[in-house]
Parts: sequence; structure tokens; C-alpha cells
Amino acid sequence: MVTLVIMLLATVGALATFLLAKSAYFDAIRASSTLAIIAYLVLYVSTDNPDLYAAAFFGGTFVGMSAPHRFGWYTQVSAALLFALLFQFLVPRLNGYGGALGVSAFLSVCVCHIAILLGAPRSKNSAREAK
Amino acid sequence: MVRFFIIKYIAFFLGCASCFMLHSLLGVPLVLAAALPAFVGSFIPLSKQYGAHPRAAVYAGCFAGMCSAELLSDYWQLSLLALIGTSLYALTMNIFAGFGGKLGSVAFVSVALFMLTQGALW
Repeated sequence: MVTLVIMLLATVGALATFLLAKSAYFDAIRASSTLAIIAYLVLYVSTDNPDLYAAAFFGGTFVGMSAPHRFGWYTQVSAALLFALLFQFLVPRLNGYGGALGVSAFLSVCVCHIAILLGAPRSKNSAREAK
Repeated sequence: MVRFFIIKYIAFFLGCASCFMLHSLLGVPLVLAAALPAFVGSFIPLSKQYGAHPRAAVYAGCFAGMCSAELLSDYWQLSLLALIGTSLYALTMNIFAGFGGKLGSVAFVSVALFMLTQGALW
């Protein structure tokens, strides 16, 4: 159950950041930080472990900070799901080290990028923009 | 170039120190401690000369500042961490552009390098 919630939160975090960063009033940094603050407040009142869930969401927002011209929705969701896996298995081993969430997000985005280079399917928009 | 580096260093250090102080001294939850200074830093005005780099350096600094208080014990260590982080940021500025998590990775590698140098210096 916790795994599913983490996967869902990471995906929502990535997609919300990706969408919000396209707006005129937000860039990727403001979108990620704003959503992380709102998510923490919401999770604080609605869950029993806000720190864990907010960290998963926060990591998801890092995935969503990817540039839209490089990655589309499909890649974002794939990277967010990969991040959720790394969050459960890699982040606990790097506990206490700053940037552990970021490096997990970066690794998941890199894996997706390599998959795209090897011919994996990608979103139509991002494929068109990449040409 | 030197001025650009100094501005990035100040931004990185401010992000790092504010995040670290918020969670280690004031007991603010880690996610909020990183997101609040980053949110404030996102209002640094964009300039033609420096672009969005000061904002990004603040955010990378916030990630580095998420270290536990057991790893960092005083502000000299924070300033060394910021120096390593700024150097890495400056070196990787044009690599992996548009990849999510790049700033966090810069922070993580700078923390790892700091831990290695800490063993040699202290």
C-alpha cells in the first residue's frame, strides 16, 4: 500500500510540476518548491507519515523539472515510477546525505533518456519537438 | 567570470545555510526546510548577464543543506561544501541541460566530495 501511495505521489508531483512550469508565472524551480510546500501541508493534515510522503512527492517534482522540449508526459510518468522504486531502495541507503532525492530523480530521468536513445516509445509532442 | 562565480557561491551558500538552519536549529521538516528558501530564491530577478543561474544555485544549495546535522557541525564546513557545490555547478552548467534532478545530483556529489575531503582535513 505504501509503495502504491509513493508511486502515485511521485507521479502526481512530476506531472504537476511539469504542467505548472509551463505557466507564465512559474519556472521549474518555483513550480517545484511551491508544489512541495502545498503538498507537505496537505499531507500533514491527511496522512500519518507526512515526512515520508512529502519526500516522495518532492522527489517527483525533481523529475517534473525536466525540460518539456526533452521529455514528454509518457517519459515523465515512466521516470516518476522509476524514481518511486529508487526512493524505496536507494534513498534509505543515502539517508542523511543532501541531494539523495535529487540523484535518484536524475538517475531515473537518465534511464528513461537511455531507453529513448535505444528506441523506446516516447510522447508524440516531445518526439516532434526533438526533431 | 569571477563575479559570476562569486554570485553563484553566495546563492549556493545562502540556500545551503538557510535550509540547514531551518531543519537543524528550528526543527522545520526537511521538505519544507528545502522548499521554503527555494521558493523565496525563485523571486531573485532574472538578468541578461546571469540568467536563472542564481535561482538554480539557491535550489542546489537547499538540496546540499538537507544533510543531517551529524555530517555538518559548523558553518566553516558549510562554506567549504558551498565552494565544492558551486565549482561543480559551474563545471556542469552546460551538461545535462533540461534533465530533472541535475541540481540535486550536483548537491549529492558535492556532499560526497565534502565527506571525502573532510576525512583528510579534520
